[in-house]
Amino acid sequence: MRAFGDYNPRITAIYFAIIIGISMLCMNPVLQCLSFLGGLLYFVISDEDGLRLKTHAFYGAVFLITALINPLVSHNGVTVLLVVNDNPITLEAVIYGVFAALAIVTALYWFRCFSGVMTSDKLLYICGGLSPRISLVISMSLRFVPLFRRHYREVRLAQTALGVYKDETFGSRLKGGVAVFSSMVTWALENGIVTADSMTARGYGTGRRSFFSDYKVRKNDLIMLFIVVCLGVVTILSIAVGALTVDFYPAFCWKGLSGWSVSGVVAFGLLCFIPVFVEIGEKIKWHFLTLKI
Amino acid sequence: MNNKIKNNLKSLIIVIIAAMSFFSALSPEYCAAFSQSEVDGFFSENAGVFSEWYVIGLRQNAEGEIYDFSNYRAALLEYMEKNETVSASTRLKYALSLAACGNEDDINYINEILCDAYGKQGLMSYVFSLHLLNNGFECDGVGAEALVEKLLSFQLEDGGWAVFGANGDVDATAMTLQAFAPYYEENADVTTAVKKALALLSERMSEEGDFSSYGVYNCESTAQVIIALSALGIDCGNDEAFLKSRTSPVMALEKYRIDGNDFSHTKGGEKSHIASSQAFCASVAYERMKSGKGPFFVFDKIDPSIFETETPAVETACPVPETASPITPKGDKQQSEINVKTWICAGIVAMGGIICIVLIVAGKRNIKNFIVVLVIVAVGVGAVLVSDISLPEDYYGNETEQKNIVGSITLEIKCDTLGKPPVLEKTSFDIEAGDTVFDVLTRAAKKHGIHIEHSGTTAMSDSLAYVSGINYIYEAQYGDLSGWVYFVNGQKPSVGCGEYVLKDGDRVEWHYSLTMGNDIVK
Repeated sequence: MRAFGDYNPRITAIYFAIIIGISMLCMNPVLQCLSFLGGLLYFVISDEDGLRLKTHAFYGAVFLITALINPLVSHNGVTVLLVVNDNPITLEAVIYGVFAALAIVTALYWFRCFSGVMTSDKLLYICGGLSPRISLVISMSLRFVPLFRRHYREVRLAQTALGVYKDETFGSRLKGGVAVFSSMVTWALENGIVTADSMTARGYGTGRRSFFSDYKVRKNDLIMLFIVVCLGVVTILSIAVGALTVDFYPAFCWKGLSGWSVSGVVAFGLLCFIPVFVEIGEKIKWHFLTLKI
Repeated sequence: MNNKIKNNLKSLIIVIIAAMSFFSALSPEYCAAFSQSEVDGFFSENAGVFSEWYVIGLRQNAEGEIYDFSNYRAALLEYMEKNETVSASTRLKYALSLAACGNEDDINYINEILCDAYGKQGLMSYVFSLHLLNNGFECDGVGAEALVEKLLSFQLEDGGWAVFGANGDVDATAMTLQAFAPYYEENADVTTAVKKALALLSERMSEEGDFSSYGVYNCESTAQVIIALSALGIDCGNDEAFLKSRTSPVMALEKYRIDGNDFSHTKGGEKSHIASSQAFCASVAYERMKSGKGPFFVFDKIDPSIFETETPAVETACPVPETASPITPKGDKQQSEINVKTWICAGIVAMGGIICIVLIVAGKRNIKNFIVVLVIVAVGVGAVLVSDISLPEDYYGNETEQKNIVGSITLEIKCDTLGKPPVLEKTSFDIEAGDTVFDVLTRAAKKHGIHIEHSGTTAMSDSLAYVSGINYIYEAQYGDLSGWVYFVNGQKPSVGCGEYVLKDGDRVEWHYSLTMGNDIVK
């Protein structure tokens, strides 16, 4: 049983770097859609929040707002839909807005997956080789996010019990939220100082930091690395030769089908769905293993 | 009598042998033309870099072979698209090369370049303009005769021409002579001028038959002289004036040959594409003269049907609207503004309704929640009602009704700095009292269907208006300091275009500037 997250952290890190890098830097509709689907599916399969409607509703709201803002702000484009205050609202701006919003949401999903897979010990392992000091700082700041969240929940529960926090209406929720947040800020500052003092008292920073981790590179890891790098290189090359370049302004225009563009899209599609394949493959394997028992 | 015949025969045989040896020495390599695959591959890849001379040479090849330049043409057009700020002469050279491709779709584009770049960059731009005129391209106000006179007036004391300086330069002189070729025998002034220049060239020729430019004997100068002489119908392989110690320029050129079609800039130097391409042209020009064909730069007619049968190349480059592409109103004009607004308001109200239903389903039924939703919907509807919203069919192509006309002004929108044709030619507009530059611009955009983008405006006031893009050309698109600036009567006002109030007879110009307005010469 080896899920995608159980591969060597260096390989998962390379994978995420390639995927997130390409989906943020290349504004190609097909690549964006593939990356979005891959990220979403992997998130749904692997994360415990994957099936919570609230999480997806938040991303949906982000998508809608970003997509709506672009045509109101940018008026470039040849296909005019409406003219508002002498400024044209164009179809091209709407299309661009949709894909820019999709890029943001895609990146958010992939980062959710990333933080689910890359636990702090894995990050320590990756950065430890470079500098144990930096890895300490990174792991501490990453630890702070869930800590903050947990504490927020505690404070909110306490204040609700006291009757300070209400979430009946938008107004009261906002008010309560501000009260909780203000207490959180104070706590965070205090916590930072306390942590620093406590670490000094325990002798952090007096000697050279070393680190230990027992991640090994196995045969599977090398195979995965090879696949990821090959697919990544094909995609990046096809982007570099301009086969996947798409112009949104002033008129939507793409370069047409060519050997490069097809291979780039296929490679990137495979790359995006690697985690999903791995997870599903493992689930099937597990299913048959349990049948034998 | 017998002796005389013998002598004649002798000299005839000598001439024949000389000619045969000459041709056997030259012809095999000289005729080594390029294959169609090289045109589609190598030359197309280097379109805009050094392929132009090759293409002109191939178009004019003496054997009458016909090449298909469509790949190269597409590559050159793309190159010109990408490299906006090339000089006037270079653009004219590209235009000439496009003309050599012989595609009829380019005629207007070449005419535009001719009009735009004509005489912009001294001697060379006049020479290339004359080449274009000789090939039947035209531009209002640019006549071949006037241009010839202009070029004649540039002739220096010593009989030559030069881009700068008081002494004739071999290259400049030769290139000017090439442009004069079609007028050599017709125009007496040209004849005398050319004869004077030929004398200079003959004098400048070295003992070995080659020519120098700026003190260095080189392949290109020699090649240009051969093209010029051949265009004028002078056989520089045998002409007395160009035979010093029995070496002609044609032979001299051979000394620069490295191998096959490759030539070097200086003797014994490395292979240079510029030298090779010009030497190739020289060989073509010489062959043309030998076979009695017209001057090198006057293109032979090609039967246009050859191009029609060909399948069009796959369009891969994304077209950018070069000229003002008016947003043409389409559809019926029955739909009124109110209709659009009603639909948008209905949409907002429907969204509010959906949110309310979600709230009810989710069990958050406090009245304050619904009040918040109501307020947001009201704000949205209010914003829509306050704005001017109209469909493009209704908006573009219509004149705004004007009541108190107090005068008229002229408006011009130009992007000379990009080498593109003007977005709007000088057009006059009526103004009402209190009309600003911005008002006139929006009215012009509305009437002529020009795309503009501006910010800082509200439905109430335009005083903070800022124009960021016209005709899909945006600020900061061609460098950090680029953008649209306006001039009134040649002055750059220090207030925004939404604040400058126009008066009768004002002359408004919008320019695309690359350096915040400093490059617009008044």
